[in-house]
Amino acid sequence: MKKYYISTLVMIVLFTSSCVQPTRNINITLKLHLKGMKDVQRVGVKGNDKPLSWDQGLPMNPIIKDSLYTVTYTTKTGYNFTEIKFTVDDKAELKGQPNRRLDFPNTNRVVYEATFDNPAAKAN
Amino acid sequence: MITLIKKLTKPLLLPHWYQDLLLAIPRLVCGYLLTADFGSAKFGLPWSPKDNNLHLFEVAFWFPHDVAAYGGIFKMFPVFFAWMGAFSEAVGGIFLLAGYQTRLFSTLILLTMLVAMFMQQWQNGLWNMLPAMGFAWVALYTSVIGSGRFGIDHLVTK
Repeated sequence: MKKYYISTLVMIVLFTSSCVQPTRNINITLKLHLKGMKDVQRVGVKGNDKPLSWDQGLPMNPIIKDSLYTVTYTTKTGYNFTEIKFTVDDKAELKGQPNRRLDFPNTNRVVYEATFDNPAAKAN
Repeated sequence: MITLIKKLTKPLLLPHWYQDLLLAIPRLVCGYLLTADFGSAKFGLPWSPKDNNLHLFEVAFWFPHDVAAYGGIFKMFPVFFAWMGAFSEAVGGIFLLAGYQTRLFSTLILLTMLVAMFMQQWQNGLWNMLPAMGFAWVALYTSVIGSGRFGIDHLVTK
């Protein structure tokens, strides 16, 4: 009887172990345009999947100060999308509006170009 | 064994049918919400969101990581507990909605919600504990009385 319980437990553990959604690496490049902003100190991006989080923004690097910023990172996910919001000087964009959504159903590389606080964006 | 299963399945009936109906409402709402929303977002069912890319009975990739963060036994068997928790919500919701094997699945849901309340949301404050608490209260009484008159349990045991 004891053997039966142990083997049942082992089978349950093995069965459930094999039922985790597989993940893949997605390489994401973000480009953010700022319009009419001066003396910007920090630009970042927050989001769902690591290395992003909704607590701490991932810093973006200036290509043209106060105008164009970029960051490239790799995220490991099982989903076909992720959600993000940009921040400037720790202030998040699109207040009260939905997050930006990046879809990647058939690709492992996404280039997403956007303007701060403007939901219209160009994804490649 | 059959007697035990029958005992576990047979619901307690209240004196009047409308009392059973009243108690069936939270059970139906919670069952629906668990399987259509909370559970199917992290456990693969035919109605899981397509972009979540979940195959049938697959648990979302992030859930075992969250479960492992609870520490202790959850850290030792994160996949098992994540799978069981997601299964309890997604599949348990269907059974709760149908009122079939209500006590068994209510107990699974209750245990899952207790973990959600005390291991996941405790440090986030009372407000964040409310959804799990709501499901837990319903699962608590359905684990005692079963489905009542308005469930498959009643039909198969009367």
